[in-house]
Amino acid sequence: MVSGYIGKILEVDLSSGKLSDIHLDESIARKFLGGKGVGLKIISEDIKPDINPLGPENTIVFATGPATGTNFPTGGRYHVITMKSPLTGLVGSANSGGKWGPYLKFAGYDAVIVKGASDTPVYLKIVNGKAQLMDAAHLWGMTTFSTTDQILEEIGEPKASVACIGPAGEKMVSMACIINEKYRAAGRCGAGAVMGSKNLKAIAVYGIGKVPIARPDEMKERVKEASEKIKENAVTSQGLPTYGTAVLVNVINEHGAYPTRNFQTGYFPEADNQSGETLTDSYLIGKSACWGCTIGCGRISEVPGGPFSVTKSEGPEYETIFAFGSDCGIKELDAITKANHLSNELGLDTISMGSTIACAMELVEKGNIPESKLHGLDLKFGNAGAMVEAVWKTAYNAGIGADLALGSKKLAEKYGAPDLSMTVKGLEIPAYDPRAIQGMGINYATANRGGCHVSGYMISPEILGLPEKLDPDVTKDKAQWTKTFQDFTSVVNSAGVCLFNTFALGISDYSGLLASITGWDLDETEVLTIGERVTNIERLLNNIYGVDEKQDTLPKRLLQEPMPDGPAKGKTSHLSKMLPEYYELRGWENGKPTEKKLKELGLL
Amino acid sequence: MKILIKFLATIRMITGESSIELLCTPHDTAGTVIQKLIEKFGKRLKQAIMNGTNLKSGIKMIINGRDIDYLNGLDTQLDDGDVIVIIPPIAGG
Repeated sequence: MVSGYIGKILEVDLSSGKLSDIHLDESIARKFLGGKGVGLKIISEDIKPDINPLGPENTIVFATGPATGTNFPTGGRYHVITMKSPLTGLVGSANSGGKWGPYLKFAGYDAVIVKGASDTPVYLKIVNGKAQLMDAAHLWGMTTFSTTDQILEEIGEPKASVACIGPAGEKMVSMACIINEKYRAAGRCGAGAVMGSKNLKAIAVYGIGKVPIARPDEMKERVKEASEKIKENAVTSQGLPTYGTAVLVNVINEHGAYPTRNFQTGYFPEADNQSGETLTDSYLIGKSACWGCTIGCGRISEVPGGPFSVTKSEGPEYETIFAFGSDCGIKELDAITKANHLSNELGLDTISMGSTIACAMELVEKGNIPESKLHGLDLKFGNAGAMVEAVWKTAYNAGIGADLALGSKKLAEKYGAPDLSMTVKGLEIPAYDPRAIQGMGINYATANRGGCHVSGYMISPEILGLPEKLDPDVTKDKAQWTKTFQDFTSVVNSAGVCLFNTFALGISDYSGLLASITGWDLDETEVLTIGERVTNIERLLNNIYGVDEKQDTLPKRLLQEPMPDGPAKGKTSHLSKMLPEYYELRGWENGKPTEKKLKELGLL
Repeated sequence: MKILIKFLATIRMITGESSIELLCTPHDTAGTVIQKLIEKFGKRLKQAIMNGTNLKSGIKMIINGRDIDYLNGLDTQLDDGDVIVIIPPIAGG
């Protein structure tokens, strides 16, 4: 097998208990790289439009990239693809850091494909090339923290990595996630519920293998060069390590783009109470980094006393602070930290969870959810205690939690107000109001997995000025920028590295590093074409599920209701001005890749 | 007239304050406000945000939510009640 890869994929059929090794074909690796790309290629082989996302016919793929487990800076990531997401009904996609990805490769595999469903709870153990299904009856019901500790103890490898689900995944909550290292999440699209539906509690990995490098001397030089860039860049060497992602709270709020009370406005007067500056001053007890990362944006935090006391936690990240904070009208960082901690323990995606609670709060405010449904839970904007209680109620499907577990789209539909769900394609929109940042609107509307900020992170040029400043009020050229960012991000997620290195590294750094790892003669054009191919195959698969241009849109509120106050007062998203150009650049018609485009990318 | 100035992230570490109110005249601009801030907070602030007579690369100054690059740069005129925010290079996601 070509360098950068182990060359083996483990296929697990939980219905029969059969484990098989599959050879990773080099031509597939070169076309789709790894991670997200290879995951999508695998599910494309037997995708069907009418599968039940929680049935044994769903497939889940855990995939690393050629850079995972190498010295490529931040090479600690893996990607999770589910053939169908229980939250969106489309292809599910999620990404995580920690050390699980590298350890899977060190254990002897590039990827794991899980099919079927077990009759009883099991977990998968992969240690130094040997894969085994283990009984997990005694783990069922445990939180992700207890599950991790228990598995590490019983497999006798304290340094192993465990990716697992908590009670939310077991209960098949639609926004349940997969947690590794207790605090790292493959968060979005409900992959945790798919694991739960298969009775798969965890996958533990450990090994002492190495990733082969084609040109080690060249690789060493290129890593040195890339590391220098990360060290010299003020964002990756100072901003992220000092404050973590939460530093964005004040910045986005001051631009009037900080979603507040279910996106009713974009300015939260109490934002500084939950900012990165406040987190650093009053809650931070340490910092953490994923495997192979020199940036180290992770926060180790505590809430020393009071009703939301947490003795040791990690985070909260920026997106989590918005979701449990401003979006629910809540200012207290204590409560946000507690909700974040509970979400990690119970295995819930914080963005979808917080946004769904915010949607419920507006449904209560507008009288759509009757009091009789709440069983005494005072689910009003600003009620921190009720917000935290709603998190565990969701994980256990308790009371109103059973409705919250549907996600905001189905919740708002159930209570007769679909326009109050702040979702795209059923996925809750993250922490940037596109009325104040035009490029973010076209990214949200077209991102394949739904309301996603990282598919094409237009905040980078429009707010942070990286790699160059773009006016957030202007629509011109945003389609082109979004397309390029989306394709580059597809490369990042297929290579197995962290998006945050792109604040310092560009596509030429990627082509050089990937060429030295694999030995392929890769240039920038080929690497970006791989990214475009990955974006297009994901779109093509979603087209099978019925996606067309009608789904490439934003909630009515963001298109029609001018921002009522704050720095972005009076603004709306001008999505319709950007979409035609986007489709033209993509070579898509009616939201679908044309035959010509598919042939050009080798997908037909 | 009164202007509110907010300091974020590492800039706040230098000023030691999250925000201040500054008394200005109708002739004041974004640039003269910067000079007043440097007089108040000293050389460390100057080193952190200025490169000669311009803002350092990566330093952002926004007035009422708009980057001064899309207004009139450091010559942007100010009005009573304006909110200025000074932002160092940061990122997240």
